[in-house]
Amino acid sequence: MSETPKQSVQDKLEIDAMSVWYGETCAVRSVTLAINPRRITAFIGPSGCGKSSVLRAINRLNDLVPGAHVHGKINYQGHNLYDEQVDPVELRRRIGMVFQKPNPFPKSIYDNVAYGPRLLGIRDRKSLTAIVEHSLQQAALWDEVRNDLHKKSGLELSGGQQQRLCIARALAVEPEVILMDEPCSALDPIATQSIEALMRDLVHDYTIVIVTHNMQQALRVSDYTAFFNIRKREQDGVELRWGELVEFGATKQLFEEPQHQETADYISGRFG
Amino acid sequence: MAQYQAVQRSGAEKAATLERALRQRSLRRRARPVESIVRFLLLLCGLVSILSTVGILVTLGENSLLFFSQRSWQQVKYDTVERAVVVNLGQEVSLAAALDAQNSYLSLELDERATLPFSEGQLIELGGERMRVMAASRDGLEVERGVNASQALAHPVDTPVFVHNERTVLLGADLRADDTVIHLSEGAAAAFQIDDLIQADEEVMRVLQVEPVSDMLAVRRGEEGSNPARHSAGLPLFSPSAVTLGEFLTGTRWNPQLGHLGIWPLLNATLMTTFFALLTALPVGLGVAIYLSEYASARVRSLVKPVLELLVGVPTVVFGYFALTWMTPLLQQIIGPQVKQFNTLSAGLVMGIMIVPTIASISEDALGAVPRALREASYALGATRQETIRRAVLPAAVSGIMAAFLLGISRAVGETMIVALAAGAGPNFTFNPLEGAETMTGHIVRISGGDISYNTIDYNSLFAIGLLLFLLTLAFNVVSGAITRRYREAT
Amino acid sequence: MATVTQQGNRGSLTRRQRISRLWSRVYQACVGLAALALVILLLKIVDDAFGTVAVVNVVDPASLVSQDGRSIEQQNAEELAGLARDYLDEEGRHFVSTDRLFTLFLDEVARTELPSSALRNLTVGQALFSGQNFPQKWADRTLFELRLPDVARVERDARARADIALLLAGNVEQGRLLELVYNDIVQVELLESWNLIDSLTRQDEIRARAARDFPQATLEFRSWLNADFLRTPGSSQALTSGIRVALLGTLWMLVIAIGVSLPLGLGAAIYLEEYARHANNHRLLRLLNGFIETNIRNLAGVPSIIYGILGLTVFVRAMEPLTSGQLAGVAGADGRTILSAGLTMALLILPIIIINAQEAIRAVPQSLREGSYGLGATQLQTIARQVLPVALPGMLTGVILSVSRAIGETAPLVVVGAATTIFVDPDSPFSRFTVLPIQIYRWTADPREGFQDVAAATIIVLLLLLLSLNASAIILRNRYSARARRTL
Repeated sequence: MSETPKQSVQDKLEIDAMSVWYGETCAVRSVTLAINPRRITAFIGPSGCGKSSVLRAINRLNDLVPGAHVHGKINYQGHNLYDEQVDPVELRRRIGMVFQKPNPFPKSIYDNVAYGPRLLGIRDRKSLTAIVEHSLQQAALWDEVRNDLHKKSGLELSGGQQQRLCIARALAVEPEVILMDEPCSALDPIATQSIEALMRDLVHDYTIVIVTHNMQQALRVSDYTAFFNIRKREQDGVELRWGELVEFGATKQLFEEPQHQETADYISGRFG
Repeated sequence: MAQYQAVQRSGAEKAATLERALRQRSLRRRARPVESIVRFLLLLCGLVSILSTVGILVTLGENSLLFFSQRSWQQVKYDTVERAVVVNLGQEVSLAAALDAQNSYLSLELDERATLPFSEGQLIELGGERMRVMAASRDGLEVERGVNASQALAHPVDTPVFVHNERTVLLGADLRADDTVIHLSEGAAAAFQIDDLIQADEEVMRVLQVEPVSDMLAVRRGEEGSNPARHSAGLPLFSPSAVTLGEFLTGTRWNPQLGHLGIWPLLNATLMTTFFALLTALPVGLGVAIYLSEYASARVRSLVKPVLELLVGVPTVVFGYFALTWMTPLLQQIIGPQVKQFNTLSAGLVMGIMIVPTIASISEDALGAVPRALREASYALGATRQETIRRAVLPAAVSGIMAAFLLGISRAVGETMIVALAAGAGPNFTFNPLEGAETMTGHIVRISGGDISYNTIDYNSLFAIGLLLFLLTLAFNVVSGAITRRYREAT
Repeated sequence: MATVTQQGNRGSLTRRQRISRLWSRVYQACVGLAALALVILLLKIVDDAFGTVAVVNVVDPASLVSQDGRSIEQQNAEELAGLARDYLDEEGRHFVSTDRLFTLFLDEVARTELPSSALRNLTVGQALFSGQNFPQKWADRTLFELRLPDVARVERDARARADIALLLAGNVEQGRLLELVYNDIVQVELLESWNLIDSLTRQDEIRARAARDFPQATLEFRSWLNADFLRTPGSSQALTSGIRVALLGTLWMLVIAIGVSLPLGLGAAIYLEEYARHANNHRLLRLLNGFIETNIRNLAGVPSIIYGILGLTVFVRAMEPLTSGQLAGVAGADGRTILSAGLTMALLILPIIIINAQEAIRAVPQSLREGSYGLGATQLQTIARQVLPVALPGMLTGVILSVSRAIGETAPLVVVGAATTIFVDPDSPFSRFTVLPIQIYRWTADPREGFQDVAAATIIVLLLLLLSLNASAIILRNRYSARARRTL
């Protein structure tokens, strides 16, 4: 599937001193990093280090969580994404998301994929079919489901197929960035493998950010890796915890010559 | 190769279609008027519920205020003591035999054609002692001796009998529109005090001065926006009586037409039915809850639950029918004929049956919320099942059971159709559960069910009762809800 | 020492076990008591709704035989019309009333399938009775005029009486006339009614009593619940009372109540679940939302009779021009109409609908919403295309439950002013009304013989209605939760 790379995907996603809060608790504090276009960037770190919060902040999905608020900036295509002037709906169209647990809609496979294009006002049956077909091809699901597009509900597929359906669904609105929140954690090794292969395919056209628990996965698929860790402090007898970005760099470099002792400990601890 | 071409083709078409759809879409915020309008409309839907509450509060409050500020004009009465006279003969009445201080029977001698000047409940006076007539016949009177702080004394034969008469105050002489002094019937001036208001026909006057000797009043005419007018002699005079909150909350007689506006007969009946309802529902409901939560297998639960749900689904009017046509005859068979056809006991018991599912389901939630570890700890110490329930589970669930209890009270107080059918029509201040007595809700239904004219004291009194009912149930609901929420958060 | 403790322990332990078992019996008894109450309640209703009745005819059918000795069943339309003429309602006699005749005409004429309002203005001569007999002088009268001046005068005018007989004989079938003769002339009167259990177990006693006290009467077994019961309107006679008007009233009231509260309730629930918790809401709006939420919880606990008082003041009195139909050009008497009742009931069930719908919406997994937003859907699109379709069965269950609440509510409608007795079907929102539970209330409170049996029969209809509604709600809920389990 080697097409000419899309011209549009050429902007860096620059996160600048961003903190995410849920009510009174800080999930992650002053994160600064730049995500390169058409590369896979992996966020790794222990549970509760805020990597998912950062990911959800990028397409402003946190807006929907009661009490959540974000400080700092994310610059993309010359806009600060948290600017009043930015439309979160259009933003989420451009920055798609694949979730930890596959969440196909309780509709047919076709309707699942056509959902996004329909939102954009595309009603023409022929165009819709073309989009569905191509998106499923991109997600390497077409051959498995081509005969039950209308018959089967998205929920009747296997876990790995469901996740690929969700990826196809995200691709159908032609996003520029795809955020993946531990997309393989609910899947078996074979399904994981196919998703990873798919990511390597897609990165020609899309910027991909993936949160993962699995460091081998980060090593296998990503070009860049950001390591987050948990900070703790006692205040007034209450233990405060929040996440911070420790190190960010090319995956190979980060795994082979980590700059920080923490990173080295985490990596070796896991590998050792 | 063919497949590859197909991919190329669909890819190209997808790109083209999306490019058309996405043209001119920038990241700039777009106005979405439809979204905003829908959001606003939905907010309005939510606000309707507030309107409902506001409606209830304003309706009840406004009309209750009217009720408490509405002046009802009562005929002015004054007490006269005069010799008892047989009306048609003009014959004065006196004792036919001497009366000692203990005897409660007083013999009289009356002409055959005479009309008896005495009646039950009347106050009479003989030689300085006042007595209450308990029963009157041609031969004599059954009396209660030495009432109204007087001493029982012996009275010789032929002592004249005086009666206390309540007389209405009438205008003693014609009144011109510009007169400022009014003449009253004899002895009536004592009924007035300076600054009193008097109503004659449509006109309201204010008393400036009282002349008890000559039975005259100096008045200011045309008060409160009324117009001075001519009035002729013999016109009854009225004085105002307004309902006070104190009278409403402490009075023990309810008869708006006569100006008796004490809520207690109605409130008492409500409390009695509620008492009997909870006396039934609390133990039975709690027993059902304990059985379901501690003993019942899944199979038994699946049988018992529908029974409870069916009971919940039965309309209250059906329970009212049940109380009147089954429970009351049953009570009459068990207790005896002193059980009246309408009585608070029957209504209360059936109401109890109605509330059982409510108490059972909330108590069961509370019992289910008691941690397993607590039960196991109790068993581990060698307690039997019953001991575990009584000493470990129930104390831990007590707040939830309290919530159920309060909600039960609230439902019983607000319940209408059972009491309207079975508890009795007509206010009756009694503590006897075998007698009929009208509850607050029953009164509202009976009065409003007939053809009621607006802005009468009867009509406005409904709102005062309704407001009291609303506040009572609200208080119980709020406390019950607060308790439920607290233990839900705790678990 | 040790043995004493042991013995004491053992002794008390058996005692304690015994007490424990005893209490478990007590708890069981409580459940038994609740179940027993339900069983007795249902038995009592059935017991009342069926049973032996002693009835007597006001006019002995034997006195109505024709001169050649044919019974009324064998008489033709002409002869029966003659009977109707002879027994026309007069002072002190309650037989065939002019109102009844007029309705009879209309019913016969209505087979031409014209709306009844149009019929009233048609003249007798216009096609309606074409080819049939009617007095020539009535040809230009409208049917409405026919009813008021002429037929009313009939009572005193022998010639007009003859006309009436002609009109009946020429236009009404023999079967209908026979019905008229039975209901309005023969008139069955109920003397006493026995319950089902008594009727079955103490037949001899009943027969003996009837023979002693009512030698004229006939004993028969009667099901108070029967087809005529559903078809006929209320009546001053227990035997001929029916619930047709009440059933229609319940339907009208429901349509209005649901029509108003459904959109409002679902709208409020969607707002509270989907918009009210939004992170960007202003502090004041959040306060307002919290207030709405608490308010709804409290409204659900307000005694229903309070809603009745609210309806009386707001709908019946304050909005009288609207609810009496004045604004719609209907000459209504006052605001005590179906519309007022429906609106009152709408307010009453609104909190129930909202709370149930909120629960249904809350059960929609958050992942569906996030999936939709992640594709660039707006909030409205997400709600309309993801949340509502999934929440719909749950919402419907709640709606059905509130419908069954509305069907059974009595007190607020008594306060709003249900009519004491009406015999005419409601035909607009501005009609006066009665509903099933109101009829149960009135009939239960009616001391005359037989009316409690009528109430019992009405209760059976009401309970069957509620039972089928609740059953459908449960089926819906189970299917829905089964599907939810499969998919999530």
